[in-house]
Amino acid sequence: MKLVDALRINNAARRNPGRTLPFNLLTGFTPLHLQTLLAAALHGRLPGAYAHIATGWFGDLAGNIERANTEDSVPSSAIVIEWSDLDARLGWRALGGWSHLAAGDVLSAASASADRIVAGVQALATRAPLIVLALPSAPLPPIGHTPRSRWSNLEVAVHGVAIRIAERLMLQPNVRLLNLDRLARLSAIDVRADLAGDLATGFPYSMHHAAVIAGMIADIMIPVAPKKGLITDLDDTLWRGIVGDDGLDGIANTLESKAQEHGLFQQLLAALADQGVLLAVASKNDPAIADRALRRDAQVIDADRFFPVHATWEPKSESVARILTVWNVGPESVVFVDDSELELAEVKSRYPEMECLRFPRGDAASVVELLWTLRDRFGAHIVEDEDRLRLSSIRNAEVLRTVASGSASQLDDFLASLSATLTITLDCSADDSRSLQLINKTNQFNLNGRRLSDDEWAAFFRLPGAVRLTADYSDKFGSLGRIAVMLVEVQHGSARIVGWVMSCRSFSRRIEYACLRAVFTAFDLAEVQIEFQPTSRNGPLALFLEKLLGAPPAPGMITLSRELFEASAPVETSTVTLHNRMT
Amino acid sequence: MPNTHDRLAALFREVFPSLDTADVATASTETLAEWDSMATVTLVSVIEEEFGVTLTLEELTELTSFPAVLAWLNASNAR
Repeated sequence: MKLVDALRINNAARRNPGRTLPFNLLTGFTPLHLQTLLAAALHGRLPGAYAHIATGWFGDLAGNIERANTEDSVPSSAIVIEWSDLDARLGWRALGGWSHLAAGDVLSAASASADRIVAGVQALATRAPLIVLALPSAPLPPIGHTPRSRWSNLEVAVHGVAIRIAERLMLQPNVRLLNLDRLARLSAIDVRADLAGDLATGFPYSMHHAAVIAGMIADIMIPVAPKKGLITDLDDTLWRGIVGDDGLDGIANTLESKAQEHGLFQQLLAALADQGVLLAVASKNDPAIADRALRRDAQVIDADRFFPVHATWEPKSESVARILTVWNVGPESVVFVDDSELELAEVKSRYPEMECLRFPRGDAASVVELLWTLRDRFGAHIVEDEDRLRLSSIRNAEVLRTVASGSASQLDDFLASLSATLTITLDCSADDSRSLQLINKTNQFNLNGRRLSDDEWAAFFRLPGAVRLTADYSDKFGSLGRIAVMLVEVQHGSARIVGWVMSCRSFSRRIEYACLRAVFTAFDLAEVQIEFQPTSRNGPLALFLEKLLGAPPAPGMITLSRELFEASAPVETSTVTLHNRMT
Repeated sequence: MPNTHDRLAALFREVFPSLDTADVATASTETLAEWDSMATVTLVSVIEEEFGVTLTLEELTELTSFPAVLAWLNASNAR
């Protein structure tokens, strides 16, 4: 991004701020263009918002971190460390000596600075919703006595100091580290620095390097929602060969059989499954043969990781349609991988929103690029226990859907047979990353489609009467974990529901009715206000409100009386436990 | 393609968003309170990007008004 484009974006956001979001950019150097470029990158990810970025004093990174922590509230913060923040002799603006004789003193000073930075970040992390930390990325000056090809002892040692900063902070749940390997791919070491700029203004980076860092920080600060599911072909994709023609012995996915790239693809799919990504198969194959091939000993990924497996002779788009129905997710949340351009085009023509990627068989370098692309698309900053329950709950939901298509009494009987327990908790603390994650990724049962940044989430709980209702569900098939979150403002005997999401995995279990009943009961209310806004995706929630109200809900504030609710709500079939943790 | 004057005026309006279009041609460090040293650095950077030129520190300190920058650019184009 050019600087003038960044200015244009920032000026437009400043002229029409729907909401102003504060951020910190803490550096020891002049933040200058990095501040401008970071604001533009944030504006690109926060339509309708104005990012107000506060900075600190020149030459005092540790002090800036400590001062930020003295403010009344601490917003999400980016901290960009440079070598001169560890010791001025590691930069270009000081003349304190580059002799190898000073190496011990430089290292000692750098270690002390690192200790102070780590302590400052640890303290800041107790208050900031999120901290993005970038280790030094500009090239070191020619300090020491070795030729350039050799890494000197001092260079090794100061890199060690920087890495130990990362090691000591990486386990803080809200500290995220900028990936130096990714940075190296996007910005080569010899084009990162701008010595003239550094000497003239104290800004050490080239425009390109600053833009790359700004983009990466924004990617971490405001992550895009990861994809939820991956549908893969089998022949010449999950393995090399055509199992229907070549037989079980003729297909391969190992190094010995010169088909390692297929094994690597399987290995990545297994890792994705471990983090809760849904996997399914869409293959033109005989189902019995496909099943035997999926259960071969040589397979890296277990056959049961795929659900459903559609091995048929129908068009791939038909198989994809059936898989989407079982998963109950939209095509925009799914990636389809196939080796055939024709099949990819056929699926894409029916689902333009779906990302369709070709498996480049026989081209190892392109396979590597595919694997990185998949890791990006499914990249999650946090993997919760609930994420790993997703597949089993979808299998159960499929059973439930079949039963639900029968009569109402059949459904009552089935739900009663589940021995379900629903734990509803009322709390007024922001300390619940899973709930925020659920709000920001749920589309279908979503009251108004409103997404919340970490800062907005924290700000909600500073409102008087702010309450978080969460619901955790389990039945005889297993636990679904945290499946619903409601945000309520309760004041003077009235309640306003301003946010409400429920995972599509828990549809048809009447959990939504139990949540509303809990609000009526806990606060002894005669009515509640519900802040509904239709979106392109929240039809299931609109349908639920229509069932309660007897008419399609109008956008805006809806009043629901307890009397009407009780008259419309079906029989409760779960054992509900209500925990009130409000203080 | 817009001429040098118009391209430079567009840059001034992005660096100094409070500047009215009518006032761009007379803008200077004397008339614009927000034209400080940091704004100068930003202005120089966008000029270098837009026109593919490089300014020295000495030149930078003399370019304190829109007419001065325009004159420098025209002279630079002529060189």
